Formats: sequence, C-alpha cells, structure tokens
Amino acid sequence: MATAVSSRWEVVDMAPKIGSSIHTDKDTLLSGARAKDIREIMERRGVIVFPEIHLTDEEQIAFTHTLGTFAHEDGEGAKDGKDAVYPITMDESINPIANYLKGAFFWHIDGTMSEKPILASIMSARALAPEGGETDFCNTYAAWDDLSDAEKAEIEGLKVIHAMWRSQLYWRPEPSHAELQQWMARGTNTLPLVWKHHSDRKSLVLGATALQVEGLGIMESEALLVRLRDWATRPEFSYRHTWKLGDMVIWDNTGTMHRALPYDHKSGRLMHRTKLEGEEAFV
Amino acid sequence: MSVATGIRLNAEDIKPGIGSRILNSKEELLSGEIATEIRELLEARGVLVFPQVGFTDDEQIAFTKTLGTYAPEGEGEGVTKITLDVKENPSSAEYLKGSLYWHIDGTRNDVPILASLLSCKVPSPKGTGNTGFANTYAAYEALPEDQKAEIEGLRVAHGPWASLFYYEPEPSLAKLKGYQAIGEAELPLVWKHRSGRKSLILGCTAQRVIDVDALKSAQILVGLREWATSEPFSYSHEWEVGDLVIWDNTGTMHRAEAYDPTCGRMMHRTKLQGEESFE
Repeated sequence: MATAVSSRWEVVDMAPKIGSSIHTDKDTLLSGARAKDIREIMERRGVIVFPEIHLTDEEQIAFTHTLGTFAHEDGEGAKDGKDAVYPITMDESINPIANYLKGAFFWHIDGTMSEKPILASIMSARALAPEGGETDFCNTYAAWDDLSDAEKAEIEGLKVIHAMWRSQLYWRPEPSHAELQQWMARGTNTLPLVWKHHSDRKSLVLGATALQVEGLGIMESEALLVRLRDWATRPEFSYRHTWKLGDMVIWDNTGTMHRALPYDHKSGRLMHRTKLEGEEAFV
Repeated sequence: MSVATGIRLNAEDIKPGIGSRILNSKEELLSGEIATEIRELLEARGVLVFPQVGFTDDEQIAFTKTLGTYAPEGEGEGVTKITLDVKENPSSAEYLKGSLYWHIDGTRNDVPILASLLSCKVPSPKGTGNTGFANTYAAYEALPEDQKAEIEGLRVAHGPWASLFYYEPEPSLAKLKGYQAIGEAELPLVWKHRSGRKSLILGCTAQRVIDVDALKSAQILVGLREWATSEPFSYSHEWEVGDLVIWDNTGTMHRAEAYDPTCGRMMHRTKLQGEESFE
C-alpha cells in the first residue's frame, strides 16, 4: 500500500508449526491496511503476537473491527450495547464471575457449547502476575496434519459430546449438587472430532469440555481424548507466551487450543479481551 | 472378662450423627477387655477418637489386634507411614493425593478393609490437614423413602482412574493407561450389610452409575456425596500429637483436608482385615 511505505512490518516465526510475531506500529494496525495479511497469518500460524504494542481499549476495539465482526456476548461488554473490552482477571471485585474462568487453566477451545464458535480472541496485557500467568497455545490444524494416515482414518467421522460441566469438574471435582445443576443448565453439544473447515483444512476439536466420544466405552473414550490432547500439545505444535506489559496476542480459536498457566489470583493480573464473531460452524 | 477387673468403656458422643470419643487409658485399651464394646461402638458411630492416647507403633499394632484381624500392608508387620512428603514416602505420595477427596478404601477388593487406625505423630499447622469423616449408614438411613427406592439396586463402576481426574484432570496418556490398567469394580450403590443395616458406597473412585446416562449419573453421585458429607453426618478431626482415630471403613467415607506437603505431617496407620464383602 502507498501509505505503508514508511510503516514497519516485520513477521517473525516463533516455532516451526505455530506462532508468529509481528513488529509494527499502531497506525499500521489501526489503518486496516494489513487486515487481510493478519487474517491469513492467523489462520496459517494459529497465534500472532504484537510485542508491546500498547493499544488502548479504544484502539483494541477499533483494531478488532478491522479484522472481522466484533463479537458481543451475553454478559460481556458494555451494558448499553456499545463495544467494550472484557476484563480477564481472577479478582472478583473486577469480574464477579471470576470463578468461571478457572476452567481456562486447562486446554480448551472457546465456544464449544455453541454452533458457531468465535473466530478469534484478541488479548492485551494490562497488568502482569510476578510469576506464572503465561498463555499456552497449540495448533490443532498442524496436529491433525501430522497424524499418520491410519490414525486419521481411525478418528475421522467420530463425534464427541461436549459439556461445560465437565470442564468445571477439572477445577472443582467435588461440586455441590446445585453447582452441578447450574453448570448442566448450559446443556451439551455434539461436535465432530475432526473439523472440516470451509478452506478444506482440518483441525482437531478437543479440550476440557469434551465429555465422551460417541459410540466408545468411557475408558476407551477418555484414553482417545487424552491421547489426542497429548499429541496436539506436543512441543512442536505448541507455543508458550510469556507476557510483557502492552503485548497484544490474537489467536485463531478455530484452529488452536489454549490455556492459562497458574498464577497468584491476588496478583492483579489483568487482560483485556475482545473477540471476533465466528464465521463457520463446527462441521 | 470385664467383670474380673471391672474395666468399663468410657465414651461420649462427638455429634449426634457421627463420632465418639473414648477416654479409657492406654492400659485399659491394650488389655483387650473392652474390645467387643469398642467394635460395637465403631459400627454404631462410624468414627472413634482416642484423644492423645499416645500409642507407640508396637502398642498401636497390639491394640489393632485386640479388635480383629490385623491386616498387614507391605512386608511383615508394622505401621504404614502416611505423609505427602516425597522424601519419606517416595512411591505413595502420588497415590495419596487422591486421599484429599471423599473416598472409601478398598473399592477394588471384594472384601474391603473393616477399619483403619491412624495415629498422629506430627500434625500439620492448625486449620490444615484435618481428617474428615462422613457416616454413610446415617446418611442412607436419613434419606426420604422415595429416594431410597430410586437408588435401590443401582450399580456403580469404581476405579482409581476416576479419582486420578480429581487431582490431575489432564493426565498424560501413559499415566491414564497405567491407572486404567488397575481395573474397575462394579459395586452396589447401597450396601446391604449382614447386620441388616444399609450404607452408601460413594467416593472419588465412583466413575459412573451403570446403565444411566452421564448427566444423570453425575447428578446421582454428586447429590448423594453432598448429602452424605453434609453437616449432620460428617465430622472433621483436628489432630493433636498422640491422637488415635479409628474409623469403620465399611460405614464411612473419609478424606484428608489440604495441607502443605512439606510441613512434615506424619501419621502412622494400621488396618483391620475386612470381614464382609460389598455384596
């Protein structure tokens, strides 16, 4: 682009099969001139880091709009319907439903309880924990691609029942009956284990909400889900982001899993998140 | 026997629904003369506390033998050290993590142990490391009749691999397979004892109710655990050095409450052989 001549644009791969960092400036991001490139890199590499880019909330919202449809979700964003960032924190004075975020410490895909999951999340570091609090990502496209043909044949066509309550048991294995009922009220969703995207690429649909592979006994089902998670989170498919203040990270929620690493819940760690509306259903 | 020396059981209730304290001296306990009464009280009350009785290991073994058949653990006679400290207990510290959740011992065996006896050698800091007990006889007996009818006849698959997920929800495949290879056992949800009394068989080894869908199964198991561990049927023992606690493993669940694994907490355990199978 003519206007981009003087702007910085440097893309560096972080691991062979996942993650790129883009070194650029605010104006380039906010102009939208590179939006198509960013979308393309995101789909190919799963995760993009904009190191210490220091976007304000308004800038992050504007940047999100350049990439797709800004996602509003129930209970998130501004009450008056305006676009807003969502605070990710374990501090209940900032986020009264912080408990729900505890499932985020385990590998997951966002939106497995909906037909069309969000396309991407964009997260900026506003305050850091002194220790821990990294975010792990793994590339579920690459993990599928590198399975042997025999393994692909074995799992292609399998369906998995996902349930939010299963993921809550990860952090609270002995809930009260009332808590369990509340979680169960979110329902279940049957999803393909292998997602065939519009692009014809395929990715694995896994994570903490996976309750049971249809048609398999529970022991066999758990063993398969654990085997595939072990595989998909191997070092060659994974990237761990250690946050610096002002970092912004965007990840393709349809082709990655992610999780937060533990940190002191009183540390004040605060992330501001925006999301892009999903563009394709799990099929 | 007790007529000869006049030793009488000296006990008081801890709570209406569970637990008694036994205040007899060490010598009276070791005489064996009130063993029958102690056994009866154990079945009736679930948990017996012998405050600061201060048994040595040999005395604990001797006392255990007055109550039934001493069940050896590992090689030879001795007490088993219960600690989360890896230096003291390299092989089992991992396995004991499951003990932080409500459970019954021996759900893999046809005949589970009758009882465990635990002596406190080094307590954890106050407010941590209590042992919780829940009376599964009392919890069953207090259920409304329609709920008793609903759960009668239900069967539950138990296995150590289910409890693995409680403390390690993302195990490696190798670990999961190792735990799964230990196997599962199918047990009744309601245990009909020879005495005619009934108790609930629950705990973190309970993987699923057989022939019931996953949601309903979780609701049943979670609902009954919450009920059985609720205030009227449960007791949390705060340990002092020298305390001995014995619990009826066939009529209670128990758990360790969280404590710092490096604090040095040390318990010595002996067991009584089971006398009755789950069915």
